[in-house]
Amino acid sequence: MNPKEDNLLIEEIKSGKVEAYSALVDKYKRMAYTLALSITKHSEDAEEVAQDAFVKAYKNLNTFKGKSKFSTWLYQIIYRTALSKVRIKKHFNQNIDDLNEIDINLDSYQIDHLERFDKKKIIKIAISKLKEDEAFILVLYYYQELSIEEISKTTELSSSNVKVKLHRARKNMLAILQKLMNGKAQSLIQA
Amino acid sequence: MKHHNIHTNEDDELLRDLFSSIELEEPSADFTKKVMHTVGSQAPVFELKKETKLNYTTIYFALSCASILLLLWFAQSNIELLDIYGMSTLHSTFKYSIDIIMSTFHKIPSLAFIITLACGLLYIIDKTIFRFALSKYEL
Repeated sequence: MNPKEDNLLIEEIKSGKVEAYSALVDKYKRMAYTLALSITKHSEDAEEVAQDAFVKAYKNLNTFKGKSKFSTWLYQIIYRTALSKVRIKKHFNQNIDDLNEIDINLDSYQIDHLERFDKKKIIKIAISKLKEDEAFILVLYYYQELSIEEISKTTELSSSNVKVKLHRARKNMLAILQKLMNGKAQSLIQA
Repeated sequence: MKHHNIHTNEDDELLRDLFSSIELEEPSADFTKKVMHTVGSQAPVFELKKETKLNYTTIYFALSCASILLLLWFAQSNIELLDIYGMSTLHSTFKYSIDIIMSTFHKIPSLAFIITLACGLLYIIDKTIFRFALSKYEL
């Protein structure tokens, strides 16, 4: 489904066909949940944030003019909602400026997957160890392949700020990956 | 590829490769159902919002038209009243303006002129004050 099809669905919803919204929810729920999880680091919170974001998007659908993609607009709502949730709960606010202080606590499930050198799980763990906004930006940039300008629009940060954050996020991500592959994780596996 | 802003290097390639293997997380099975349940219960709010907006527009339109009609009626028939309050300069300026307008548009039926003027003013009001109020108070 391309952005034009999204806009057609939105027009249907605006004209009163509420059930058409389920198609949009189905299409974006996994991405929404993944993005929410990258910020909240907690599955229940992420589910709540993703649901809230979809409801907020619906409530404000009459203000969506279709100038940008629906997905960009939705990700913007997810970003705001998730950050707000994190700020309130102070659930995860680990500063990883000093990577030596990272405490990579791998549970048995994670170690099991590291042993198998499962890329999917490694990246999942690494994302969970990143700061919330860095994880969000990396997912949008590398997975969704959004441009700097689109990320800027989504996060309401300036382009130069996004570039700085992206640079920092990459650096931190690589350091975490290195630790996971060669450091503490290996010693845990060998233990 | 959209990535033009950051140069490609080995690290960038590594990350791209890793992220390409990401599997999106799956929310609970009844995720859509829950969202649609909430949305369904709020559907009238969405419709009501549109109706409320329309009602405010209609009321504002009627009030604006009535005000402008009253103002013009006052200007045409009671302009001498300004003298009572010692506003002779204003009186002469106002009367002069009205005279010019009326002489310019004397061939046009006065009702059409008033409606045109009302629409123009309403358009300005709608584009400025009314839109601001709508966005500010989320009417």
